[in-house]
Amino acid sequence: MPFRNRAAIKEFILKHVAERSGATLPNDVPDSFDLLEQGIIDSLGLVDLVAAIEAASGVEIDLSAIPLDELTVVGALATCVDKAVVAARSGDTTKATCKQ
Amino acid sequence: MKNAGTVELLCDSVKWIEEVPRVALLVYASMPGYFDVLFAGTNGTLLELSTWIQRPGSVFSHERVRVVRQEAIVVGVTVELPHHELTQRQRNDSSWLLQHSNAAQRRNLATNAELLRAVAPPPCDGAYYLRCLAVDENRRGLGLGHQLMSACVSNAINGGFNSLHLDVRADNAAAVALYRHHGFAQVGETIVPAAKWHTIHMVREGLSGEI
Repeated sequence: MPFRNRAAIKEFILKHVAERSGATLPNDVPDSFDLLEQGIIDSLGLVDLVAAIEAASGVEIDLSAIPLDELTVVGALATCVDKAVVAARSGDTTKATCKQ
Repeated sequence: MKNAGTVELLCDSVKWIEEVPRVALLVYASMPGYFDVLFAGTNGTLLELSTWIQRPGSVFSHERVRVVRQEAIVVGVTVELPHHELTQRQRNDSSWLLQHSNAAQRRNLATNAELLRAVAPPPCDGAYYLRCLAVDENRRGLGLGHQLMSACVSNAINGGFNSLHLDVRADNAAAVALYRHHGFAQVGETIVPAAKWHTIHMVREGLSGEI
């Protein structure tokens, strides 16, 4: 199920972490929302989230270009994944980076 | 005890880098199932653990490894850290894993998250954690475990921490006896049947009254 756009990726992220954590998230989660800082996921939950995104998108995501402290921020992660999905779609590879 | 040294930080020795493979072997032996899952699909569990020991900011970093040597050889280790460092170091390690793993490795980690969490208790205020205590199997029965444990308790007390926490495999009777001898009581357990994993969570409370 390839993601249509960045908004769909953000929606997937929020739905996945809400299901796993049982937490009720605000209706309009800002891009600056940090899942770890807010106690929605733990550090292993982040690995689980990325694995779920990769399974849903069919794209292996290279996260080496995203700063470590931004990995758990919803907007930054969604943008990163979006770039990777777009790159994979336009290229001939299933592994994509989220480099600028 | 023959030529037993004091317990000190690994990196206090100028030759600590050369000792990393041996330290990795001892740390690995304390929880092989955990590290086998954590580093599945890498170039090798011991090689990867050695990298983590050399990496600043890791839970298992040389910054947090303490050792005791006999005849200039590392024969026992502890990995211990205050609660306020645990979350940040776990986050560092997870970020590092994300950036140095492939999709298959990440799937494996996600599948085994329950086991990995079982040995990564959430931090609580005022706590000090003993994440690992291991003694060379050829040097057991010489009091090294007691020496390492006593040093850890002193570190916790001197650091102003009120409680000392640890997890131990339920079938490691010698270790459980050692911890009980040092005043620890069982406060919980974690059982992950699929991984044949059973650990006991033990705590020694009231350290601040022992200064």
